[in-house]
Amino acid sequence: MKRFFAILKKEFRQIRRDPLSLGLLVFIPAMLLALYGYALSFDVKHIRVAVLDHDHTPESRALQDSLFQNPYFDRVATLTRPDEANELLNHGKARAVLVIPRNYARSLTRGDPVSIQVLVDASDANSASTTMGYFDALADRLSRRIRFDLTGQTRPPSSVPTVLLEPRIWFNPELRSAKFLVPGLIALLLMLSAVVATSVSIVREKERGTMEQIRASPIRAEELILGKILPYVLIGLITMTLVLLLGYFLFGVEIRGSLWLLSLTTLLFLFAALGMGVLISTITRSQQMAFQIAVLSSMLPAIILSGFIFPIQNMPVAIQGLTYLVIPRYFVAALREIILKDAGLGTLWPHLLGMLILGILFNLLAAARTRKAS
Amino acid sequence: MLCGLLASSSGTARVNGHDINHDPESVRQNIGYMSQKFSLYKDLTVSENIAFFGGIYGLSGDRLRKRTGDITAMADLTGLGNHITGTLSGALQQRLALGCAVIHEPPILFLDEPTSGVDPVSRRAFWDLIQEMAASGITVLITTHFMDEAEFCGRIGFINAGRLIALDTPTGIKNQTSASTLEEAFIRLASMPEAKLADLNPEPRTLSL
Repeated sequence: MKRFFAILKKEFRQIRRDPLSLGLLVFIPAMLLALYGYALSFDVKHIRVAVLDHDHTPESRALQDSLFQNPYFDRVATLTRPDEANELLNHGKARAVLVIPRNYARSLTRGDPVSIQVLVDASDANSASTTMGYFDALADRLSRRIRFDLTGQTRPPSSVPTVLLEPRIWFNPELRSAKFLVPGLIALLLMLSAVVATSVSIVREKERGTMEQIRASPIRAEELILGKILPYVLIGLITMTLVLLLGYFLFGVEIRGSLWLLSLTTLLFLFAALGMGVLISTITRSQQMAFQIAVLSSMLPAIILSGFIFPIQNMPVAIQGLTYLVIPRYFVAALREIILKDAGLGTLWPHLLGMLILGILFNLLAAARTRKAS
Repeated sequence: MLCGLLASSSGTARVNGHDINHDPESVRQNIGYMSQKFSLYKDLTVSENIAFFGGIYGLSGDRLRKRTGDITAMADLTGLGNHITGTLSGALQQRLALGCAVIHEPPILFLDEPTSGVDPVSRRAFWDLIQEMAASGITVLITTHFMDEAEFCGRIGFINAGRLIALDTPTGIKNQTSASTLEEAFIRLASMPEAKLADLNPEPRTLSL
């Protein structure tokens, strides 16, 4: 125990003497969160729309008005010829063109079905499908209102289907991608700083020869590793707090679940991530090498394989299997459960268990490699 | 290997009676070790370094305080306790490293090329310190390339290409090869054919410390 405290004390002294690194460790994740949080958004707003109105009736104008009333659509041009539409789309000046046919108003008054054409630039498939979704919703709302107006009744006419789908969206009612992304970002950033910080701090001792000096003393591998990672557990918790505060103030992501569960989840995550950092330090000899391996092995899987952006259930089975080895996979899922849904231990335990198992695995491997002479 | 850092691939070795393969932890408790890089934490102060090495050898309380005083006096670091180690001269850092290596008063001290990169005056002063330690009853094992340093030792082993080619007192080795300096003796021994070497040193070596 005495030996463990000697390592711990020394580690804190070194961290204190190097405020720059400490600052980087705590503030870079906060900065990146702000940056990514604003840049990474799947919400599509201010879609540039041009209108080609062949009808020129009060009804066609009413259609345009209801379109541009909401903030998702901005009118960029009013066209007179079809070839202008092509040109606007080709040059990216408009993302979509709304084409209202000549007999729009007449068909409406007759009660005939009428088609409105929407040309969408799908070079960005994601935005395109969101755009189309908006148009769909708009058309649906319009046609219901028009039918009401036509029949002049308060009760829907019999031609209107009596079963209506009324989706209720839970947990993230505004469907804002920030709420979905912030927990993932937290996992990514914490993973990055935890793995990089520990592996580099241990390899630094190898490079300077102090590791050899320590290992010539009777200290045990567990005492050494524990003493080296505990300070970074504390730093990780501080970073986590800061990032959560930022998530709340910048993106309105509030924590619905219990703070105790959140702390437990974070501790388990840090246990696993720091173990991975130590393991990396045992297989590398230079700080540069450790840094590169740590960044690659923590960041790429945290982005691609954690479910942060790409849902895991959509991946090929083999890749899905691989995700079980990715620590942030569990952390991202658990954070979303806690922050967005107020989930309890009953739903969280598989994620917690996953991190615990990986943590034990990485730490045991690291201790074995430390004990075995390098 | 003798510091309990590496396991041997074959054979046995005992340090102060402790087997290096079976009980490396007891070996480490009984030795002091200082490498050529004199590995201190350059971003910590002198007293923080001493406290740290005291701590990993399990010292605390009165014993740690007493040893801190001893080491500060021995390494001429009185009054420099709050200085950042990296700002001290190479010679002072080296003395501090030596002090940290013996903080737990080990019966055996390993010095791995301790004097590389130090000026001649400090080197001589450092050797005086080593002689003092040896006189106080500590067994000191030193590796070095400098043959003039080897002259100071009580017993020398020459190692060439991984083989022990001679083991004797400085005078003994010089007589054996009828060389006037150890440098010459080493060159003669190293170029000697296998058969003649075996003649000079017939039995396999057991080194006990």
